[in-house]
Formats: sequence, C-alpha cells, structure tokens
Amino acid sequence: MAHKGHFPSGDFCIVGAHESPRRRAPGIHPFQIHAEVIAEALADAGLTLEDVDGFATAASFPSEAGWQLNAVEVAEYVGIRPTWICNTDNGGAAALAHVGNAVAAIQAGLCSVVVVSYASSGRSWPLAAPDFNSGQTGPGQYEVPFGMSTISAHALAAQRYMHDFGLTSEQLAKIAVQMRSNAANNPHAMFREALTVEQVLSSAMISTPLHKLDCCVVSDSGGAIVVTAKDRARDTRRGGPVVLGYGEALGQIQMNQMADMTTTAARHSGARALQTAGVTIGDIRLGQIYDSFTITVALTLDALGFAPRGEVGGFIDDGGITPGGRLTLNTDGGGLSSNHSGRRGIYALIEAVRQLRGEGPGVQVANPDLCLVHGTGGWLSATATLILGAQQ
Amino acid sequence: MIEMTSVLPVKDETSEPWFAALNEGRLLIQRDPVSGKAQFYPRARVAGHPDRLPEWTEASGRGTLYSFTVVERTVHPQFRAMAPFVLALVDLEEGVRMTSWIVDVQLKDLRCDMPLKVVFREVHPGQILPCFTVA
Repeated sequence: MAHKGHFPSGDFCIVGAHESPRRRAPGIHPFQIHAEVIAEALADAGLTLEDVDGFATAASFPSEAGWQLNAVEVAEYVGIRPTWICNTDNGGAAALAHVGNAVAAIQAGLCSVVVVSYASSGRSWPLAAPDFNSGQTGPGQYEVPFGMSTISAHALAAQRYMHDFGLTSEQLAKIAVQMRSNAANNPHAMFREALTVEQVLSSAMISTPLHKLDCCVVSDSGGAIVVTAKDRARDTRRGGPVVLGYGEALGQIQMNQMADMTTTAARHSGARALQTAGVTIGDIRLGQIYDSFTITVALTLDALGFAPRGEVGGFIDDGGITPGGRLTLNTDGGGLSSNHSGRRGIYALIEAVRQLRGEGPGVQVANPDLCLVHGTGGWLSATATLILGAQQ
Repeated sequence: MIEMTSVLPVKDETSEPWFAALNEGRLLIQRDPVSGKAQFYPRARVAGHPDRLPEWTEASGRGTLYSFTVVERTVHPQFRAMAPFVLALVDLEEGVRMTSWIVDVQLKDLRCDMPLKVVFREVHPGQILPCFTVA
C-alpha cells in the first residue's frame, strides 16, 4: 500500500554521528557505551544533552543489558529527560525506524532534537542467551524445540534461493570477500586481512550451506546519531545529510510463516523509501545494506531491485558490488568484517552519514549525492530503508 | 519453573490438543471454518480474522521439502549433542508450512521439493514431535 500522506522529504537532517571504535570490550556494561557514543555524536553536532528532547533506542537481548523498559533505562543512565521516547524494536532495522519515527515526532511537534543510540556487548556479555529469536512459548513452541537458530533460519533461505535460482556458495563467498576488502583501510574494523573465496568455503560449516565466514563478526560496540529539522540544523556545528525517503515493512518472525524465502520485506520498504524520496533504484549507486550473513545481502539486493529477480548470483559475478561498479556497498566493511554487536542498523546509518560527508574510513566514494541504507531485523523479519542525501 | 535456556515447549490452552495428538500419532492442523483455508501454527483465532475460531483437523502427513539445513555446529547445549541434524521447513499437502526435522534420510539425498511423510519421534526426552522422512 502506498503512503497516503506526504513525507517531508529533505526537511530533516542527521547532524551528528558517532560509531564506537570498541570491538572487544569485556567487562564494559553497554550503557557505558551508550553514554560514550551519545557524548561523541552530540559533540559532532555541536549540541549538548540539554538540547536533546527526544530519545530512541532498542534493546531486549541480555547482551544489550536492556529489559522491558529499555529506552527508559538508557535515558535514566545517560541523564536524558526527553519529552518523546521511542522503543520501537524491529531488530537490525530499529535504528532506521527510529529515524523515521523521529521525523514524524518532530514534525508533530513532540520534540525537536532526537538522539538515536544503540550499544551491545554481543561478544563479551557474561550472561548466556539462547540463540533463538523467539522463546519456546506461543508461536515459538512449534519451531524452537527443533533448534531453529539465527544462522539456521538464514541457511534455510539460502538453500531455497540456491534451489530456485542457482545461486552458488562461491557467489555468496564473494560478498564476504568484498566486505573484507572494503574493511582493509578501516582502522576500527574487526577484521582487515585480505580474504579469499577459498578461505570462506573452507571455513567451518555451521549450518549448510552457510560457513563460519558467511557470518558477520560478533563485537562489543555502539553508535549514536542526532536527528533534527533542517531549520534547526543550521544552528549545529556542521549541518548534515538530509533524510529524503523512508519506508518500513514486516515479513514474518517464525520461519514457518515465511511464504517465499527467496525475498524479504525489503521489496516493500525499499519501494516506499524510493517513492518518498522521489528517486528510482537506478539512481542509487551507494548503499549500506544489512549484512548479518552473506545471504542477507543477496536476498536484499534482489528484493530492492538492484539485481533482476533471481539473478543476484550473476550480479555479484559481474562486479555488481565492487567499488565503482553498479553498487558500492558497505564501504566500512559492514557487519561481515567491521562491526556487528547486535542490531547493526545504527552502524549502516553512521557509515552512510560518513560517506555523504566524505569521511568514510574504509572505501570512500567520491562526492556521493545519495546513499541507500537498509536494515533487516530478526530473521529476515522486518525491514526499514532510508534514502539519505548529501547536505544541501 | 522452566529455565530460560530450555527449548521445550511451554504449552498453553491452544497448543495442548496439538501436543496431545502427537502422543497418539496424529498430526493436527487448523482450518478456518468459513473459508476452509488451513492454518499453521495453531492459534486461538484465525489469522487475519480474529472474530473466527479455527477448527482442528487431522493432516494427511504427506508433504514436500520446502527447504532444509544440516546443522553441523550449534552453541546451544540442548542441540550440540544432537548435531548433525536436518532442520527443515515442510509444506503439507493441505497448504501449510511447518518447522520439523528430516530423519532417516542420507544427507546426499536431500533435495528441495522431495516428497515426505510424517513420522513421530521423541526428539527431546518425553517430548514427541512430528518429523518427516522420504515418502
């Protein structure tokens, strides 16, 4: 269904952004990382905590140290007294959804300066958590007792895409290899050493057809951005990229409810983002796309329409994600090589801001005017897509 | 008290009949009494029509393999000792998809869309679950 209302394309800016350089932080509570990245993002914007009247975060894993009222908990810890909070949790899409929600809230007059932050000790948190997206209650009681894990959920999608369209493990491996190459110059990337297709294919098989190196890194980190209206952005230190378009969509969460495992809700969130921005997929040459696994990227490239339906394998073989090719992708090394502590959307968003400012730490595109950012949450469950434009 | 890390189903009023039928070697699904459309997983109401109560019906147990993954490594202690196992999504001929295991099949013979039939196995001690094998 198309938006009936008018999205305020270009009226809101991201005026501050900061990604924690932390990747391994044993003994550090995630709220400490929230405070660190919020301070840095506000300093980047030339604002102080007193300017902040809106706050958004999502945390419901033990490694995020957030429980039911997590936005309230983090706001209390950091000392924010917002007039608007947002606790929307669609997983890896959450930070993008928070930007969409922040635009709506500021437009409605509920607040004026919104901080979106995220932090998680995905690697080092001492409390064990089962690797299941939903518990064994309610809908999950028909799936979790069979051992459906995060990687297995994605492996099932990979198997079916391979069956339907002939995608190969080599083509998936090329995604991991390209992300590693993009990370080579990023001083904070978790892994920077060159990687080969052979190394990916010979890494441990976890859940067929996905190998260990088809999976993202597991880090401890965090990030924050600051969103405000364009008129207010003029008072900030640097201004910032503008929000041109936004879309969100839901798929499923139990894998037995996913009607077609070869595509995701990105089809809908992407179409809405492009439509609200008034651009087409052909205009997009730079993207930050959620890469929890190599297959996540492949499905999303297909769903967003970068590759013709079913042809993402050929798209990769033809250099479709090589820098300077059809789509320069995950320029900091993405989740596959740089940073993935949990809900990675925030890092994709921050890298988009860095690219549009000409400050990418990995591969910097020359003077980009547009960047697509895409978050995928849960198990190919919920998506959000943003189109950002260079500062006007 | 059920441990947070347990994988055993926490049964409820809706799921009790489904699990009870498994112990009798029967696989139940639900139907919308108005449209006749099958529904899985079981719910208290018809998905998309919360004003309707679904009806239980016995599935034939025949289906096809929509997708599968051989789980070779897992961090979860309750599954580590079971690996490798074949986690699958199975399309029942009634038109619903369910999560299951494929058992008694050579791994090299696994193919998407292969015909399957239900078998009932004690996957966890005391817990019979519907699994599938070659039809």
